[in-house]
Amino acid sequence: MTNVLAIQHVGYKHNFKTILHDVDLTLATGKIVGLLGENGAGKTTLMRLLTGSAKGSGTITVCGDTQPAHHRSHVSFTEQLRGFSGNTRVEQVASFYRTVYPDFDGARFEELVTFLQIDTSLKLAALSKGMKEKVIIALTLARQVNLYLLDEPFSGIDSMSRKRIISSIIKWKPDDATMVISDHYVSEIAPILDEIVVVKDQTVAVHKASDAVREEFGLGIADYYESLYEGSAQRD
Amino acid sequence: MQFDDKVPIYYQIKNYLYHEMLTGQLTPGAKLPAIRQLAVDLTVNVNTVQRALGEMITAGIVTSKRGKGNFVTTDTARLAQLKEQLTMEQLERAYEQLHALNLTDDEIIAGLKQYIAQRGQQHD
Amino acid sequence: MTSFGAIFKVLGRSRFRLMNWLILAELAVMAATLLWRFATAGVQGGETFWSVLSWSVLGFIVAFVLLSIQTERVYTRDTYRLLPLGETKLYLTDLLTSLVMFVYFGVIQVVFYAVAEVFDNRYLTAWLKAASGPTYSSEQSLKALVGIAAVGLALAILGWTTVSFIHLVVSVTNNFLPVTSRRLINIILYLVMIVLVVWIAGYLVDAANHVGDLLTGGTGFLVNIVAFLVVAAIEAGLNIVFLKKWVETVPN
Repeated sequence: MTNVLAIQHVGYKHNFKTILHDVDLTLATGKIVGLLGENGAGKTTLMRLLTGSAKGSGTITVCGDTQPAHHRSHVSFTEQLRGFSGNTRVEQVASFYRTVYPDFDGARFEELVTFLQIDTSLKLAALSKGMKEKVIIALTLARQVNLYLLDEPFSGIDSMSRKRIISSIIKWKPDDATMVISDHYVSEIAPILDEIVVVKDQTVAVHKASDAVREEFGLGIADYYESLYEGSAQRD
Repeated sequence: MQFDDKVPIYYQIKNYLYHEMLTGQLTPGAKLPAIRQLAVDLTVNVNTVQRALGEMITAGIVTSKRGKGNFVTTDTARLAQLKEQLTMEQLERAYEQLHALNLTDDEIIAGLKQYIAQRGQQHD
Repeated sequence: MTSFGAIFKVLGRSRFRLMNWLILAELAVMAATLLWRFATAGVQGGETFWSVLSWSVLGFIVAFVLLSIQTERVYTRDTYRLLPLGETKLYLTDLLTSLVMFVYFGVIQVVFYAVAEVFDNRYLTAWLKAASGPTYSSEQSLKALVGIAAVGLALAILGWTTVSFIHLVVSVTNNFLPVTSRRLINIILYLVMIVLVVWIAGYLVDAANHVGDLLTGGTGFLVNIVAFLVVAAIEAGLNIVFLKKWVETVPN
């Protein structure tokens, strides 16, 4: 099994409005993939479709399985703190994780907590934006799965937290796991990406190896990404 | 280390390690850091480091010992050859660019000499 | 896959805490009511029992509503919907957790009644004797109590499956339909809800009429409970289908 994910003809509509249309995408194991696109392009929706959090049409295969309920044991997704009240402590959330996820590695979580400098006695409501993102990353990476989905882990956080999070990703991503990181601002994560996937015009417009972009176009990932939008602006 | 986003990252990692070897930061036979450690230090992807090292192993600059890690080759002749090769690459690039400015070979040599002399004065 | 025990534990923890808060609050208002009566007019025979019972009825309603909120939260939160298990297991465990907590609350209420009964010189026993006449036996009274508890539980289950049904239909239509058709659906749902409430109220009156069956050994009472549970099972089945096919979580 060399593909962790295969998406075929996937579409999604919300209130009769098409968000994604006829999406095809295959991701190999062991990659770090940048999921790029403007806000509202459908990056989050694409991730939500993989776990069954959103319901669309088409076929999604994760680790050879097409059942959303089975996907969830292969996928660790960063959308999980909403169900906890603000006065829940980080350690209580971790204990919830330890109970419900058989693949949650407590020792790994402790390492991540130390590395990311998280105070687990804090309540969720008391966390700064950067600290909250670190907590989410620690929880997400402490699970041992095949596919990690990180939805905008760097939006609105300070550069020190950002650097720590990027380092923790490099350090703790299992070799045979694939990680999808969505972002609308690419330059800070460009060096760690194996591949980029651009969601544009309701579908996957580009899927390329990042070094191939650099070799083919002699462009940086950020410049290349911007050029995709300039092109369409000229056409209009 | 800062990367130029326009140049393939594996290529820049290779150049960075070559630089370390030729300037003596990494001596012949020295053990290279573990791949994941290198990736963390350089803030790059593990796969990219692997690709850079793979090419260095193929080129005979790095030797991989199973279970022990990667080492700078002890073949000093190969390292000397590498230095020559990198020097030639830089010279070629500079020469081509100067040539593109319609300079003759003599003018290029004279210009280079003058530049080195000036640079030496500035540094004193 | 997450085990049944694990989900039950995480879902039950907060609901258990909630029930305990409610019991404490209940005790506080019961004590305050009795103290106030004692200080002003003096407590008469039967008053301890009736004030405990009336606060307890309110307590049951609040417990039902609080548990409903907790039950429904699970369906639209990624915290729970991302767990590696099927929708059927999630739905049934969620419902069962609330039911167990409701039973826990109920058992505590029975303890309250027993204490009140002792304090009030066996007021209830006397009152029941007077109400049912000389044919009353302790075996029959136990039957009646079990019957009332059973109908209460069946109603709670039906209540929750109905609340979920309406919640999930609204959630699905919110995702699929444009705003104008959504309003229409909401109006239809209100009508359905009114019909259901009237229908259940009718059943309740009927059930009250059949309480006598419990004492005489008739089956009308049991039929009502079975009818509640059949409707609840149909709704639960539909709810699970909704969860599997259409119900999405709230995006962050």
